[in-house]
Amino acid sequence: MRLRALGMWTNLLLSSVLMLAVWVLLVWVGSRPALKTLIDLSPQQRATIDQVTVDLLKDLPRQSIEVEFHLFFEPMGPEPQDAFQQQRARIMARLRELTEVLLRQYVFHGGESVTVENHAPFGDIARYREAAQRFGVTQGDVVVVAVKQSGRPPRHRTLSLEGDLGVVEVPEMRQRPTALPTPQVPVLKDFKGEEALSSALKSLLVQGTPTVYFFSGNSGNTNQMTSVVPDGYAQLTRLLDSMGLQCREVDLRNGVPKDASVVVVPEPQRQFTEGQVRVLHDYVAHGGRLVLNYSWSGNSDWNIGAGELGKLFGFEVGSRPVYHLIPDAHTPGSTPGLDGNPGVGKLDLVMNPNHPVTLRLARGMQNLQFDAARELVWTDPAPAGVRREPLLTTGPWGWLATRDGQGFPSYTAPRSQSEFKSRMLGAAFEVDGTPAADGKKQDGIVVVFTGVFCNNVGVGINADLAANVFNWLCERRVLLDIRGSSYVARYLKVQQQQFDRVFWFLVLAVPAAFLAGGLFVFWRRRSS
Amino acid sequence: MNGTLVTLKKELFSYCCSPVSYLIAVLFYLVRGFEVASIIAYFANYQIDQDLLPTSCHNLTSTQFMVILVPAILTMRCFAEERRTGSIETLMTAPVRDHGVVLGKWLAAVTFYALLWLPTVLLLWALTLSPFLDTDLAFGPVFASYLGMFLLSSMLMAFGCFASSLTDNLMLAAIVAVLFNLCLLFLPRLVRANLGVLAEQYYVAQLLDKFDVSTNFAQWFARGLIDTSQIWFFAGGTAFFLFLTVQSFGARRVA
Repeated sequence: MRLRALGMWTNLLLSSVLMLAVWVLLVWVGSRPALKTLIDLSPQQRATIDQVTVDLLKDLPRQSIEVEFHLFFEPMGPEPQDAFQQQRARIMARLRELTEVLLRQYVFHGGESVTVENHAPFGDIARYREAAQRFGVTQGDVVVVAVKQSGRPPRHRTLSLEGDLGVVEVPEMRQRPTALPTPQVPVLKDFKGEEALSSALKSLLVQGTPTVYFFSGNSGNTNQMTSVVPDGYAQLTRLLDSMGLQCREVDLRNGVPKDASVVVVPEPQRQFTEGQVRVLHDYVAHGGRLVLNYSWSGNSDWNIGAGELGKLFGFEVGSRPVYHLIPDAHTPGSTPGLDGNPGVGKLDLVMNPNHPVTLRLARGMQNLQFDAARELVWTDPAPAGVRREPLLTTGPWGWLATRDGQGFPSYTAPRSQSEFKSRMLGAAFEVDGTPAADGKKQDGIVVVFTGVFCNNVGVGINADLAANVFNWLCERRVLLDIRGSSYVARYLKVQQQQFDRVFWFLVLAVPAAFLAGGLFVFWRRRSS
Repeated sequence: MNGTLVTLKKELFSYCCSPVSYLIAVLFYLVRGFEVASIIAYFANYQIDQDLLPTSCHNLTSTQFMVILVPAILTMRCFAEERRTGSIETLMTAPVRDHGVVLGKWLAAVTFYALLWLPTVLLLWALTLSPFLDTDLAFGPVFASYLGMFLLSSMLMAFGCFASSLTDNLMLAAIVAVLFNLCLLFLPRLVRANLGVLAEQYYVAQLLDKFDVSTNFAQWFARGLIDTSQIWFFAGGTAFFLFLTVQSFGARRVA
């Protein structure tokens, strides 16, 4: 009997070990990257990281790239005494938590190529000190993104939680939306963690610093790169700088510098000379990247056409401004087209959903706005070796404005339906390359826009488009479309009366209901 | 299957008629009421994103009470009580298979546990109505949280059944189950903090991650994120402990 019991228990032990092995195997198989899925049910799907980031992270193992995220979070000190500092401490705690959650998703998608190390100052001091010295960290609450690629020196970038990952609104800038007594405290408005971390990661993966040359010699303002006036381009220069591109001025008299990644000609108002056309065409024919950004001006002398350069690449630029009918919700009974309203000059655009520059902007239904635009027209037939693709058009109700009696463009829409059509405002031209001395040839690219979109005013709305154009032209395709999750914070507005109702409902009514239920069951059992 | 259903009905009826069940419910909803009301005031005062409200409602003392104590209390009597009163002999000779009995008792405990939780969803929904907060709350994380809670508690109750099958002492069964729950919730974090460099090795980190159910719940399920590999972990764990219970129950019959 005892032997039989022993055998039974041995059997139980063995079968338990076997079952444990099955459990481990099940979890291991379920954790394989190909078999596991992340389902996001969070509000506004804010926990979902962008597909571009997912693709990048999944590509890391293939390229043998190791990415390390080092967290240097400040330890929680004693509870601050004033409400402002208390709220700031809460915000920092929330930012730390959001960052950790975000990085867990990076690990989820990156697998073994991504590691996250949280350096606690009260943990392993030697390790903390070594890491802080290695990355030059002198203050707390920062995230270091470090990249190791075989054959290349390790690179890193340091981001601050409060400055780079979070958007915090200070109390003076907002209205208090609640009726309950509220202290004046800062509010966490947004979390740009993914945008900041992915941008840092992507820029670290791109070696070298591409150079963008501005040719302003034919423009009205020859100092456009640093000009902070509304029609200057200082903001664009700053944007490109933040993307890891360096900007310089160029004078085409000596040709295009050899280190040029892109040449930009912003708003030319004088026709290119024969020499400039030759330089620019040679540059593109040898694999160069050129951005031509025309605009419309009230001074008709400044509305130059595409000239000889246009003929070489197969396009022409119209002389009249492009306007577009937009619904007028504010003027009851007005005729279609916002007649008499300069708003028709602000163009909402349709993007090419297949071109890498506009693909994700189009899918994300991102708003772009062009101003002072002219029509871009393709000349027929296309020059040999040039492939053309539209990037941006107006909707079907675009029209070309005429001048009124005083010489100003008329905002009145045409009466004839035939004058309305979709007008092209941007296109990309791929030009077959000419073999260089070493026999190699590379195709050149010209991107043409015929409206103002990335000056100091426009870049606020069209920054993503500008970033995409330059990343694409610099062949930094991995950097296209860095977009963080959209985060729209909503706040509870609770009146004291509402709060009282909630309190008594939760604290009294609900427990009392269960108590009554229990007593009823007890009474039924007693009586039966 | 029929034996499972019969056991399920019998056990569920006994749970519903037990004064202990109603005592648990009253205590739970009283504490939770205070906590949720204070969280609402906190959210309104400090201007915290209201989409985090349902998530925050899962990070409360009442939730820990429901995770650590209640599964142990509900399952402690599953087998220990039967053995203490001697009714286990009747159960063993009844025309029901061992796995049918175990599955029926476990299902009854899980069903009653779910019934205890269900009104919290209705309360959250009621709070969105006009006499109360008159707003819409994010119910995606609520669904994910309840799924996570259901999976976790299913595993904890499977262990509770196993602990109950090992002894005829109700208190001992409950204490063993509570200790297991505490270990599962807090031990991985302690181990991670004390393992040093070893905890950063990829496979060790993965293992600790899987067993760190508390962090996983707070950072994935409670935020509306469902990692399917965790479902396998909980489902596998539940199956494992139910298997042990069946074996233990069967071994007692032989012994």
